[in-house]
Amino acid sequence: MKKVLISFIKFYKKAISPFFPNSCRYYPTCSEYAVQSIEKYGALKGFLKAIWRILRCNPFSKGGIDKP
Amino acid sequence: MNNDQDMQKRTMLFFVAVSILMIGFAMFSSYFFPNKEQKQENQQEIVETKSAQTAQADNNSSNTTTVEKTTQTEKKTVTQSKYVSTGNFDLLLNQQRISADDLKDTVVINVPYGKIQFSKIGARVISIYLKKYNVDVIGEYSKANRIFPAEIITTNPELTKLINFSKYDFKQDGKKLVFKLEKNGISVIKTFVLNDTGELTLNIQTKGLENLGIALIDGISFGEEGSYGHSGAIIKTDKDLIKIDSDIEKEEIIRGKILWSGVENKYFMQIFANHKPLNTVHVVPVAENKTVTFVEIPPNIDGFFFGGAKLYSLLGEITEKYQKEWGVNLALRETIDFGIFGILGKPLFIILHFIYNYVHNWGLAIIILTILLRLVLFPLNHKSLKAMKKMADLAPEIEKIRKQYAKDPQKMQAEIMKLYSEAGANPMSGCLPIVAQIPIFIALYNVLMVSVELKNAPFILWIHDLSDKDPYYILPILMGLSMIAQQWITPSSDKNQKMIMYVMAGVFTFLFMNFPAGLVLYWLTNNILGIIQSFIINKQMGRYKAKK
Repeated sequence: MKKVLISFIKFYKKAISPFFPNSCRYYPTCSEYAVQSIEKYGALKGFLKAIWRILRCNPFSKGGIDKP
Repeated sequence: MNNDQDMQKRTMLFFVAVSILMIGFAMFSSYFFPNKEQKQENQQEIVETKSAQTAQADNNSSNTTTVEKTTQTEKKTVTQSKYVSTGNFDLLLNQQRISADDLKDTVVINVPYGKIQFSKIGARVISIYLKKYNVDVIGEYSKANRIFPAEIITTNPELTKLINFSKYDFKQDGKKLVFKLEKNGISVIKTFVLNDTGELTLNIQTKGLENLGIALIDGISFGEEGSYGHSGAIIKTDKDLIKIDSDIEKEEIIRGKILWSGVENKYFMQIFANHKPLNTVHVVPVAENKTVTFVEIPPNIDGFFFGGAKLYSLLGEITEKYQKEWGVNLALRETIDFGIFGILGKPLFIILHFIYNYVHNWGLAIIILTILLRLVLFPLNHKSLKAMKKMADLAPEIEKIRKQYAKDPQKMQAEIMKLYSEAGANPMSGCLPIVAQIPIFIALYNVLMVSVELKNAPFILWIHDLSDKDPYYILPILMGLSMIAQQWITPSSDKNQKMIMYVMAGVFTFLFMNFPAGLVLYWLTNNILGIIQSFIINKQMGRYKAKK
């Protein structure tokens, strides 16, 4: 499950993401954050954390460095 | 240089991914939702090749005969249906049906929205023609096989024949149509009342059928409207809405408290609702992708038959009317399927409908809705574009960092992000606005695809149907151009990004060519608004700089 999710995200990063303008306000980017947090916390918790990160990644947030 | 190559690789990968997805989807949909239109095209092609081949008389005659055979077998499935045994209820789908009624002894009623036709043989509804859509809700299959809504099926085939293949006495009293049959000690009285809302009040009283099971046909498949949306039987119970696809292999029986039942496609439906819930509905496959729905009834019933378009406001009106009269919530609006993002799609549609009530043009309503959506998202977009401009001022410092950490791209990115948060100007809009746009777009796509309101709804000039593709491809091309223009005007330092956007503009133009014109209109308006917005910001920023 973990591996499947991560490979999906990696595929998105490689193949789909380059076609949107760079938009993430954070370092690491939301997709990298998702990979790292799934590796760190497991599929469910990591995935939820990644979603929370995407929600935080909006124009009202300050951005900057935010690691899982 | 290295970066360029990497980008090219990614570009390739992207197109491979997209094409695999698209081909995969096409295969998936043709496998799971076989398209009727395609088959018809095939048939036409066969006929054409046949005539072409007979013209070249002596050329491979064996081929011609096989072609002829295929056309014959296909014709058979169209005109003659399989004999289906339904256990207790026999639909009697055989030659007798066709010879019993030549569809000439009819009653034609002109109504504001079109024309309704009844046959005096069996007192059945044989045509509901809707002027606005140029569509007959009673389909070709019904007419070819003489099986119609409002037909009574009994568990005794001889009686079924008697009831449906005999001529009824007809009397009209204003909007009330009374059909009467008295024969062999059996009496059937069917009363239809024409209502302003388009549904037909249906009252049936029978005598002499008390010892039999009787059922009422309330839906016969009448064709699909494109591959999108559900077409097949539809049953509403007090608990949920049950949809049964038209390609089932065996009869399906649904028991429960049935409020109404019938058949639907994306835009239209035929249903019968009784004032008291009924118990059992049968859905019987009768031919390829064709089902007949019938509901078991007591000897006397009082309800309505509706055959018409699934207009949101109309269905609401009918639901309300019977909520008052019967005290039952029929929830007819549930038949409009706004898709997986229905939670978003439904409010979008309601707003769209609300705007339409003022402007009376669906195209204009779409434009206004787009403007409203932009206004809601504007603070977000505005801020990000402003920040983008600010970033141009930060460019020299960023260049410094780039050079400093050229060998460590991760460290470089981190440093750049640090700089942004220190300067209080992050050029990135964030991932949320981009992610949020996807469900909105999909929801709107669903809305524009399923709304019968948009069918045959003209916009301006050359667009006569917003639910169909633009016949001259003017809108998709304009949309592609607007994407390129947007790229020109948006401040961006990345050359690769620009190149990719040009390619994207081309891809989107082709992708959107066959999309409904209404959807392309949305996308085009959205782009134009984006261009205007960045133009204004560019100007304001210019002023700000000059003052400084």
